[in-house]
Amino acid sequence: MEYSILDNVGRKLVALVRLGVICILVAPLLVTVLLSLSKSFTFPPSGFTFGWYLNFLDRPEFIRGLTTSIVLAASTVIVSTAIGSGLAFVLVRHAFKGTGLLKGLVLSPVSLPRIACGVSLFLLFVNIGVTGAFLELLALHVIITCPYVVSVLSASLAGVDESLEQASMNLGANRYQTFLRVTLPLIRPGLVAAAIFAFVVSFDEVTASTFLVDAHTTTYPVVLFSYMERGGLDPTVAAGTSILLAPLLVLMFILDRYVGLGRALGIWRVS
Amino acid sequence: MTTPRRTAPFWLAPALPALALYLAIYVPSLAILAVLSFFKFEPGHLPIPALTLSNYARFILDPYYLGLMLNTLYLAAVASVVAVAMSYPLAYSLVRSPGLRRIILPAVTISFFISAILRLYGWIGILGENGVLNGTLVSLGIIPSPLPILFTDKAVVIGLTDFAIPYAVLILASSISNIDASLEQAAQNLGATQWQTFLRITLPLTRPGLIAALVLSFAQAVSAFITPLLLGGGRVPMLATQVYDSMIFSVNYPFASATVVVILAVILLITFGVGRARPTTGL
Repeated sequence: MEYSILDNVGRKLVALVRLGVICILVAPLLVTVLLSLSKSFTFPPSGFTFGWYLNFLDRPEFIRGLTTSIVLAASTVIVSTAIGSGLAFVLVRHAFKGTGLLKGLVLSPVSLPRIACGVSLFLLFVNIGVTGAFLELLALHVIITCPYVVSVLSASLAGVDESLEQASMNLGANRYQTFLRVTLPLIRPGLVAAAIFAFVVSFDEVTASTFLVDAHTTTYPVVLFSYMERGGLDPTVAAGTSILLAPLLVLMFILDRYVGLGRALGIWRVS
Repeated sequence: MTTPRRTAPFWLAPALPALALYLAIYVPSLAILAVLSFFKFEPGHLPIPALTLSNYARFILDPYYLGLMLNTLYLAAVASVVAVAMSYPLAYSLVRSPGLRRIILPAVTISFFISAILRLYGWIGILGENGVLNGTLVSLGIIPSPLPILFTDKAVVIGLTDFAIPYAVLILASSISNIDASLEQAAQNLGATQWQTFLRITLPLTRPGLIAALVLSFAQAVSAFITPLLLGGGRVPMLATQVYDSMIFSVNYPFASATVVVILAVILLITFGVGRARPTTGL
C-alpha cells in the first residue's frame, strides 16, 4: 500500500470534517440543555438555576399544549397503526393491477413538504366547513405518519412465512384468530418501531399543524414556536424542550432493543 | 366455499379505512390547492373562481417575488451542497469504521428524533450576539466585537444545513455500504494512493447516492418554514414563509396556493431533472 503526503493531509482533513460534523449535530442539543440551567441568556453562563423550569411550569398554555400533543400523538399512533397495518397487509399479500399506484399514493405524503400538507388540508376543511381543530390535526397527523407505518409493517409482513398462517388455518383457526395469534406476534418488532416513529413524527410536527391549530387546541411544538416567533428567546423554551430528552432517550433505547438503530434509521428513507 | 368473484372484495377490506382517508381527504385537499391557485383574489372577498395565471405571473413579473424565489433557490442550493459535502466523511466512517459507528449512529439518530424547536433554540444560543460562538471568539480576543450572524441569511443556511445532514448521512451511508470493499482494496494493491482510490473508485460508485442526497436536502431546504422564521428573525423571507404571510396576514389563499405549487414544481423539476437515482437500503 502506498502513502503520499497528500494522503496524510487528506486523512487529517477528513478526520477534522468528521469531528466538525459530529459537533454540529450535537452542539445545538448541548447548548439548549446548558442554557435551560443557566441564569442568563448569555455565554459563558453566569450561574446555575432551575428558574426556567419553574417558569415553564407556571405557564398554563405550555402545559395545555403538552397535554394536547401527548393525546394527539397517542391517538395518531392508534389510528395510524390500525389503518396502516391493514393497508400494508393488502399491499404485501395481494399483488393486483394497481399495487404500484396505490403504494405511490400511500407513501407520497413523505415527499410532500409539510407546508403543502398544512395549507391544502386547511383549505379543504375551510371549504367543506369542518370545524374542530383536534380532528383536523388528527387527520393531518395520520396522513403524515401513515407512510412510515405502512413502510415498516410491509417490511415486517414480507418477512413472515405464509406457511405458518396456512398451518394455523389448517389446524382449525379462523382468519382473525390466525392474525391475532400467529401474524401479530411475528410482526411485533415492526409494530413497536411503527408506533414509535408515528409518535415521534406526530409529537414533533410543527409546520403543517400551524395552519390547523385554534385558540383552544394548540399542539406543544406550535406553542413553543409561536412563543419564540413573538420574540420569546429566554430559556423557558430551552427548559420546555429539554424535559423531552429523557422520554426520547427511552424511546431510542426501546427502538435499539427491538429493531436496532441502524435498521430503524433505514426506515426514515421511505422509498 | 365462496366463488372467487365473491371473495374478491374481502381481501381488499383491510385497506379500505386507509384508502378512504387518502381518497376523501388527502387527494381532494391537494386538488383544492391546485384549483385555488388559479382563482382571483379581492381583498375582503371570497376567492373568485376565474381561470387566471396572475398568481403565478407575480413570480416572474414582480421583482420582489422573483427575488424571493431566486433567493430561496440560492439558500437551498448552498445548504444542500454543504450538507452533502460534510456528510460524506461521516457516512463513510459510519459504514467502514465499527469504532466510529458507535458514536456516529446515536448522534445521527438523536438528531432525527429531537424536536426541531430544540435544535433551533440551540442555534440561536450559539449564533446570537451574546451566544456561544461570539462569546468565545470575543473573550479569546479573536474578534473585537460580536459578529452579526443570527437573523441573517448566514444563520438560515447554517440551520438548513444542520437539518439536511442526518438525511444526507443516511442516504450516503446506504450507498457506500453497497460498494464492495474489495474494489477499493484492489485499487490500492495495484498502486493507487488513498486519494486516487477515493476519486476513481469510491466517488464514482456512490454517484447515485450523492445525487439522491443532494435532491432530498434541496427539497427539504427549499420548502423550509420554521428555520428561516426563527433563525432569520423575519428578515430572511423564503417561499414557505411567504405562504404563511399570505395565509395569515393578507388572507390571500389563491396566492398562497400558487406559492405552494411553485415550491412543489421546483421540487419535482429538481427530482426528475437531476435524475431519479435511488440506492437501495443497506444500513
